[in-house]
Amino acid sequence: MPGSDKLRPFKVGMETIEDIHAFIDAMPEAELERLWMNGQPAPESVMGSVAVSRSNVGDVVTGILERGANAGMVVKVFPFGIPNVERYQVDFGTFGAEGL
Amino acid sequence: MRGPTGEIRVIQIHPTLRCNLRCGHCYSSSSPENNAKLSSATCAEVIEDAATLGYNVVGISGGEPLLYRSLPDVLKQARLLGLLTTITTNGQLLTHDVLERLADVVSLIAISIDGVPDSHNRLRCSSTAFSRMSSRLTGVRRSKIPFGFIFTLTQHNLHELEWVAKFALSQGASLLQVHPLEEVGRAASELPGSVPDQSELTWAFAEVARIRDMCASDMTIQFDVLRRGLLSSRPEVGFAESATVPSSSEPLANLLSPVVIEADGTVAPLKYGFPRRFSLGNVTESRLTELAQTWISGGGYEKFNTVCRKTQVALLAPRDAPRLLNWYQEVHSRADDDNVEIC
Repeated sequence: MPGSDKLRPFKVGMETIEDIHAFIDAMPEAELERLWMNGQPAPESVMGSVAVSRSNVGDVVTGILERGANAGMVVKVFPFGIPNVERYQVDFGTFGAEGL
Repeated sequence: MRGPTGEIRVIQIHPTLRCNLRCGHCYSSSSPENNAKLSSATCAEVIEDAATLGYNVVGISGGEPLLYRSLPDVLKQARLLGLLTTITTNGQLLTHDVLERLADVVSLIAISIDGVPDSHNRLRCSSTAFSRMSSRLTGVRRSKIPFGFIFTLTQHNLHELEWVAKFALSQGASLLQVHPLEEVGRAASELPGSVPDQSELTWAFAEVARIRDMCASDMTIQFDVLRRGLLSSRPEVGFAESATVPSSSEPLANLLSPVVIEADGTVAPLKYGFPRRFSLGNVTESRLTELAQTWISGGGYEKFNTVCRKTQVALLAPRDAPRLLNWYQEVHSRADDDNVEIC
């Protein structure tokens, strides 16, 4: 295993996942479209997608990153709507998760 | 100024390949049974010539330099000639008596460390290597000789660098040098797949920057990699400037640093074990000043410059070229390739 994999290891606790889930549920104009966890019994990685309005995308991104900081959470944001953006898809996941 | 060492013009001497350890990553395959060594008379001539040729730092490595009996005399001579002196040691033999003999003649002691104690012992193939080395550090501090540590970065030990830096700071070290492992010498057979890859070097670059911030001005941290951008904008740092024919009167130190004197007398450019077809000759057969003159006037520098330029082109050409380079290793591996045509 590369030494860099052991640098300040991230911990993906169930509390983190539940916290992000609850945060998105509470956000207006945001819908959790999918949430995947890997690892048994303790989660080792997580990834998910949120559909969110233009006005709330900043708060959603900030909220996910803050709640997932200890899990090494990263996000990728994709805009929908041509020529005017109508909504965003926010993909989030622990660092190294597929597609992120 | 040509070369990776800049204004510091280094002659590195390996007076012996005898060592009290048999480390798995040793680039010179040193060991207790390896008796290759330079005579003290040859060492004295080399030091004298190095000063004449413009070198200002003599680095003594090995083998274990503290097993070389004439070490204090070699260092003393260098200091009398105005050169700075360094030794690279595993630290185990830095007893009170040894430190007393070195106190006025060595400018810096560089002590090898390879991670947390278990990792250090594993790489050094000795269960007591770390404890014996660390037990000498109180004496080193008392001696007032400036000292630092050299950490060999492998594919597997970056996460231990922070611990090493904190250990070095707590011991009062002024330098931490991070040197990527090269797959040469014993490392080639004992540690295959352990040379840090590009991803690991990139992580290390970030980690070194973070640790530099952590250490502030208390300790210098040197990372032995070359940024691709620098090689492109200042090719002379890798001896890869456009072909020039140096004047035969130009001091060798202006052209080549580091230059390496191996225990069998071979004079190698750049690093220990550099392919022999680029050698300047052998100091057991001719004086270094003569070898330097013959090498320069006989096209030795152009030949070396050519392989450096070919290395530069090969590294910079691809769109996905690596951003961080172990320049020493890159040039060595191309120089090793007999299919690389040299002028």
